[in-house]
Amino acid sequence: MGYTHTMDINAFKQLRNHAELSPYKGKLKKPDLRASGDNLLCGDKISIDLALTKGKIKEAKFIHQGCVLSGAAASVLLEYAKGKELEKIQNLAPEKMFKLLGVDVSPARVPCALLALAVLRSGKTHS
Amino acid sequence: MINKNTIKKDFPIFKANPKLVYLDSAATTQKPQAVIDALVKHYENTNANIHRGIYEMSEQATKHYEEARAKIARFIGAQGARNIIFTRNTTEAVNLVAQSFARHHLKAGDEILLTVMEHHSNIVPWYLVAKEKKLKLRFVRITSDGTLDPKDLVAKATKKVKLAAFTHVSNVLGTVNPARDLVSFFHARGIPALIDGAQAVPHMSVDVSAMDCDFYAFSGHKMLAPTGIGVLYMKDKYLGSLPPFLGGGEMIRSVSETNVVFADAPAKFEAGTPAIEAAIALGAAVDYLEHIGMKNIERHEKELAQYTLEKLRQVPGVTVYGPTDMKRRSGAVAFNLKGIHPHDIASLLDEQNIAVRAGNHCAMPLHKFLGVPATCRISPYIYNTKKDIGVLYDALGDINKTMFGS
Repeated sequence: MGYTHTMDINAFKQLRNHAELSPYKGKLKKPDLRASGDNLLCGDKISIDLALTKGKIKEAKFIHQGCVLSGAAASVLLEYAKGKELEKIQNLAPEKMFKLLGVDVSPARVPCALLALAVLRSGKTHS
Repeated sequence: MINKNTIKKDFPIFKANPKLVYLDSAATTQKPQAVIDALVKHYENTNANIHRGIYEMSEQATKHYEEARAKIARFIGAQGARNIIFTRNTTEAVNLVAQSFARHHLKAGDEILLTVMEHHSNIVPWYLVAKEKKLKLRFVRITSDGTLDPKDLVAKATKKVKLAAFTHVSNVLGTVNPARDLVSFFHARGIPALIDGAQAVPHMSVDVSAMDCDFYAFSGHKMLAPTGIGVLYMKDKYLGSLPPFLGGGEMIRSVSETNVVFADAPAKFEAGTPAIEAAIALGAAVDYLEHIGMKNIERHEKELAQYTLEKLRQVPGVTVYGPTDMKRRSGAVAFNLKGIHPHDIASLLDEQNIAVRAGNHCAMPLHKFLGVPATCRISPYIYNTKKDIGVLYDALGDINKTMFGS
């Protein structure tokens, strides 16, 4: 009857582990890029630090406050981004972000899933 | 009377979705068959534009539309059908007063007094006109129990205030404001009052004449009717004196190349072809509600709210917002669970067919005041039962258990 669900509790737990136990949690001492942003409607906040070598992402950290979806998205995005060119990551399609998350993202939760990517896109390097 | 065993059968949505536990009626209510039938019947039998056609079907459609207006007037205790202006929703009704009253009658430096518990629909229309006319918006604070702070109210209701606009029932906290007392408080200071009744009219007997408010706004879709139809009650003294909100057909007596003569109210405030079928269906919704009885509805919802509060308090890590005194509150209950974001709670409840709302519920200033970015909200209506609340309680227990092992 057109009534589908978003995520089950096991998927949720996985996301939560991603968000809370992520090796990418924290800050860098001297980041080449630091960007932060929030989702005004739900209050989620993310800040991302990157260390870059010749345009490639060498190290990445994030600090997150909010729902598991936005937290997990930050973690999987940084995992994927490591070793890749910043420009390429900034141009990542939203569909790729959903794929990295591996869960069905309902329309109402799209802003949660894309917050980390939006923050990365807003970031400018110091050079 | 509400027959708790059979009422869900009046609502086809529960037949199509037997497991659905719908607890988001403050956002919009489900529709009974009687309302859906009224909507369909109009299109199948009497569809024509109103007020203009010189043929029987148009006259029939006009008759049904105006009957709905008269029914709504009686339902909320208005002096007459002339006081009922059809709008799209509460938001448009508030915008109408902001543009037709505030924009023309208030001047730079004047103040509009709101409360911190307002829905954005009772903030933003005032913000727009305030910006244009250099007016000031002031907000009455609330106390820790989610009710208006009387000291702050007295302090802010100064001579500068030329209009007060407040919600009858908070869409987040469930707080029922003492509308009648507030109106007389403002009138004693020469301040006209607009009441946002979006969360009140569906849930309790409302008598605008007894309240003596100047304007009263509400939406059809939150009281079993379709979307796209709302109501602004306007006191007699404003009907003639306020200029129109929108211009177009239906709201004029004559138009020449150099002059326009407006129709009398309420037509003056209803430009263009309205949502005819939705207005007629709103009349059917009123019939349905009156058949059940507003006192019965109020009693049923208070019982449910009390039960909801009792059950929620048993959930580990829960914070409930809003008044604890049942006399001061309606059915909506906002809460948070420790360690889980409200959006995640709503997603997990959705997994179990439970529909609740999570977010700031179009009340960002209130959430800022509460010190939380978002909350979960349960808002029951006539078709909900204690069993629904039980399903919710079990689901919250499961979430806690799976997430925290408690």
